[in-house]
Amino acid sequence: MTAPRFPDHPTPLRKPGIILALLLAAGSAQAQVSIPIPNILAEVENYIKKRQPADAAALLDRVLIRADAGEAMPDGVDMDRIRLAAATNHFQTQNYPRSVEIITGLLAKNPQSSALAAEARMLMGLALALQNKYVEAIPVFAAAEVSPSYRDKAMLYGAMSAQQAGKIDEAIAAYTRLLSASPRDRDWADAALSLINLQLRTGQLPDARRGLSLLRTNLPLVDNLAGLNVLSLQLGDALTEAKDPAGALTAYRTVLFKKDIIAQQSRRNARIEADIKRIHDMTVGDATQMDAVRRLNGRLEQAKSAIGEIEKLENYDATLLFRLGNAFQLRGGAWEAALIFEEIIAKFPDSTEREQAYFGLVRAYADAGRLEKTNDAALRFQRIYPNSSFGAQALYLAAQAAGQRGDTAAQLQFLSIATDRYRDNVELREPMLLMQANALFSLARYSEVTGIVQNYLNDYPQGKFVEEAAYLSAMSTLADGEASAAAQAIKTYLDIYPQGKFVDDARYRMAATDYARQDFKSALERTKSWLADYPSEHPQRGEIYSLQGDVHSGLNETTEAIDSYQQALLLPLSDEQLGYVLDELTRLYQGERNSDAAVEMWETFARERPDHPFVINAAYWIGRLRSREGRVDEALDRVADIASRYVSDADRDSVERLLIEVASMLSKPPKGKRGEPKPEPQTLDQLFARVDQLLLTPATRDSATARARALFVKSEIAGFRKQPRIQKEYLDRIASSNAPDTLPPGILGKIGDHLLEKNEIDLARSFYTQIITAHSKSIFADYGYTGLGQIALIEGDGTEALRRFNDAIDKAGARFKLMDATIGQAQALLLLGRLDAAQNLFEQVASNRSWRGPATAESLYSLGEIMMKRGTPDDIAKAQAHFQRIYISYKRYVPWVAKAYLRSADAFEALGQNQESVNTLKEMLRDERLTNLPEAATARSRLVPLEAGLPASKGGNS
Amino acid sequence: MKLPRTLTAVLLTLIGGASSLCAQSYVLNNGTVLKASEVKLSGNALVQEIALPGGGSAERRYLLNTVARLSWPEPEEVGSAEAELAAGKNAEALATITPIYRIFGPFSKTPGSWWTQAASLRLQAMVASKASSSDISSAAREIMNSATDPEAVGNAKLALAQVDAREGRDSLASAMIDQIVNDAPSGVRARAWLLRGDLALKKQSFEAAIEAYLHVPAFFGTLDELMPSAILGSARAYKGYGDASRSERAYLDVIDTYPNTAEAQIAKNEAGF
Repeated sequence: MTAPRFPDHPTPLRKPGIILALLLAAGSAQAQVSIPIPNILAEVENYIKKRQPADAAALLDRVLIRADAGEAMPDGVDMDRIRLAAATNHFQTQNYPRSVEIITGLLAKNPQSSALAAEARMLMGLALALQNKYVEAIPVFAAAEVSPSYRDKAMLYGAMSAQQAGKIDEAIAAYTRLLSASPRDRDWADAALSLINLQLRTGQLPDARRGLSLLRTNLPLVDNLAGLNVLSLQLGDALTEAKDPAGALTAYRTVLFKKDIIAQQSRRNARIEADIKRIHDMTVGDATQMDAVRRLNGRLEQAKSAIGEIEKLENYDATLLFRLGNAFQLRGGAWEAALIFEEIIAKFPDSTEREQAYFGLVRAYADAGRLEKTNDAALRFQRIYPNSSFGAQALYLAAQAAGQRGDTAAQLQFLSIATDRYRDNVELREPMLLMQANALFSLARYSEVTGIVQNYLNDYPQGKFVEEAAYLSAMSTLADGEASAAAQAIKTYLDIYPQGKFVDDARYRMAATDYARQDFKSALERTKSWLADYPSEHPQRGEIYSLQGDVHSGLNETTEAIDSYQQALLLPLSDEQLGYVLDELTRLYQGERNSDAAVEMWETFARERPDHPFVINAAYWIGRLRSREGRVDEALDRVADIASRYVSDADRDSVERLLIEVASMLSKPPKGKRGEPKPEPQTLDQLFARVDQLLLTPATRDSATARARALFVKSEIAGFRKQPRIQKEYLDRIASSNAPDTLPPGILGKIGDHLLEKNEIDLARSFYTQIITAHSKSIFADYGYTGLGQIALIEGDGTEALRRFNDAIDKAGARFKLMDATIGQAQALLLLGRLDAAQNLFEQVASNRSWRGPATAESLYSLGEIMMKRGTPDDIAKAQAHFQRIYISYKRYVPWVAKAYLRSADAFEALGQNQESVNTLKEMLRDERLTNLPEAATARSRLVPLEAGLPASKGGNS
Repeated sequence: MKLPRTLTAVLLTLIGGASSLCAQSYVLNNGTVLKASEVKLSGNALVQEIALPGGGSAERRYLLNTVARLSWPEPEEVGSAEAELAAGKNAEALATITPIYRIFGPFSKTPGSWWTQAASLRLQAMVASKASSSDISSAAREIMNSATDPEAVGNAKLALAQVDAREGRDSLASAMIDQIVNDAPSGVRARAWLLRGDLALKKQSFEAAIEAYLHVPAFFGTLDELMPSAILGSARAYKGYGDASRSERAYLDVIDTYPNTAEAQIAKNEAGF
């Protein structure tokens, strides 16, 4: 910003003609010795009209000399005005000292007119300022502020003087007063810019930030946009430095890009020039307007200068974008940052910011949890800047992000590249090695953990993480099942680090190793001493009691075990541990044939922690325990009582598991009593009525969600009773009578699958979509992603399908649909022609014993198709083997068998083994289960030409 | 020939202020300046009535294609319509600006004419008041054919894209948006990103929707008026994407930063605050 400019002419002069009209009154008779005063004044007026202020000033001085010499002035002549006119004309001739001298004299006489005094002060202040006597000008302008007419200008010039005098605090105070009191116009905006500039220079960043925010809402008033741009950049940098990313972002977002700032400033310059011209055209010689012109010219000059600077900066946009991206990133706007860094990379290939933008991009994607993008960006960065000094950091971040997302394979990939390529980066290699060891630990690759840790300890014997490495090594040995070796390693750790970070955990693990080695006595002693040595609020205390319970169990001390587990229940436990302790207690109570105690425990839990997810487990166990005792009705009532608390809440997704248990209990035929005829099972209608009675209480029956859940239980009962038609009918009823947004995710998933099976794709899509939009964190979310993936496959969109199936696994954890999602991924990859990746997944499915069934048959078939696509004789032979395996080993899956026979025949034919092809088709046609399938018709039509082409001797081979 | 009543009324309005009277003039190719108050528009010509010395009068005709430029201050209706649009009074804005659009119709490409501004405001008012798709399309195409101002042409293209989106012709809308984001001025580009976000959200392409909406705060930070829509859109898209915390933060951002907007109220309802 350039320094403020003062007008070099008086601001508020009245028109000279008017002044002189006031000065001139009736003539006097003093002209005998000198020129009469009225004549002089008439001549003065003449000079002023002709714009000859020097001549006018000389004449007025003569009048003043005569007046000061005691000459009586004619009647009607106002000496105060004569003095002011003299000062004004001296000012116009730039004789500022004389102007100040005259006004000092005038003010010393305390002029009667306060308006005249204010006008004089303004003139004096300007005259002083134009002599660079800013310190003297400040109080003069301050005194002029009392005049309502000159207040705004006095404050403005006062602020400018203070600024020039280096009295920044005074300048800021004056600008602040001006901005709060004066109307919001273009002068106001200009003053605001000056104020922000001063606040920035003096480090008053919060005030500068507030000022900038205020200007942002008044942008049309700002003439000097280019100046605002520069200030905003400076403020943004200062706020970044001051660790205020939100403020920095606000500042940077005010900055326009080069093209925009040049265009907009050009328009504003044209507006200023037009204003100047308009004033020139409309008002010739009006001093107030000329003052306005002067200020406009000053502003125009500043704007042009700033825009000139911006035009010179070739890298302006890239620099601005980089600052913006960084500010977004620091403020948690990782998505916005990624967009910006991508823009720099794409649009500014030669900019110096590009390399750092790549690093920022990796960081932004990692922070946003966009794993695939992080991977992709990290790899692009490595490819384009293989030797970047930011490379190690980027890979470290990418590895961290992958770890947070649970993608340990990717994490290890990044760490492997980083530790290999940046061996010399000691600062990062150390934490990366430890991260690598942790990642391997989470993958249960314990022997590799030990190797990495050993390398670390060799390379960095005095490293920052030596203690962590030693302990991780011990834990790795323990997790690997080598209890004795682990005990030794933990003992070594405790010897070396008696006050170490992990001593409490180590002592607990020592007890655990004793327990693992069935040294229950030592384990018990260790748990007791641990409990004695650590305070009651230690977070691991519950865990120790749980282990102690295990130890007592191992010693067959059931009462003590129950006591320890009960102690554990009173302390903080993770959900996993809590579930374990509750289950162990249930098991022990059952062993003691004390169902009442187990039921009481679960009842207490459900009562004291009504919102805990395990309340559903409570209902499950209460129902099961009572049911085993033959108290089915009591069990159902209790389960229904708990279920009905949550049955109207669509977000409580675990209710569905309980409802399935209810359906199961209801569906079971009643047990007969000895000596009595077996009772008749209840009809479906009776069971359905019971469902309504149990679930649709007065409190719940108006809830659409509760009603849908009751229908769901009925459909499950029909399923248990092997009534698929009725089961589907009820699913249809749920779908037709409920909007997706009233349904819980478990039911949405079931309905979606049902509709998809019926080929009602759009309707199925709406149910799946509701799951992922409204219940994305539900345990049933994988139903939504998988269903949408299957729809995308049907629609031939491999990319979309792959994305959805990936989400089913990565985002939703694929609790229920892992197999479907994995097959879906493979199918999508096949559709996209990514044969190797598809093959890999199909092989995983085919080799998974727990998925053995239609999925295996489908995977084998697809593997055959992949081999056929590759088309070499060797591949076709492998394909043939896959197809053959289906109709030999997976005969139960008729549709796949039919397809496999046909493709097997194709493979033989492609290999030139037509006889084998014919044999295969004939074998297929002998299978009666396939007779009516379309594939059988295809086989028959294929046989004719095949047999016709064979030698007669082989044609009848069967 | 008599001028239509609305035209006369507006001309009277335009020439109402003495200060602007002299500024309303037509400048011909040959440098002749015709004061608007001294001529009437008649067919394809401006007609000046000349009093004859001996009484009576004659007409002098200046063909419209000889008008080189207009020297005309901004009609008050332009500012009024802008204010009405900003206040959501879309029908009033349309009624205010339509006469100006018609008056300057014969001078749509003449320098100094206010036709482009009027036609753009009329189009904005039509879009905002949900006029029929065919009316909006023809108004937009007229601007694309007649105007040279990139902002006006961009806005017209955007209106066409909005109509296509409204009618479910998403691929056409997307194609038009592609054009706009490549070559339109920044304000139009920002609005095109908003529309792209809306389309992606409709298709449940949440990642694409987030990126589209966030283009506005990322690259068009000075366009405060578009921020509430952009951030609200991103909140919805984050929600669909499964990032509940970012969604909530975006909702709060709209509510806290733009408390007096319609979007803030919607955000409160949707986020359940």
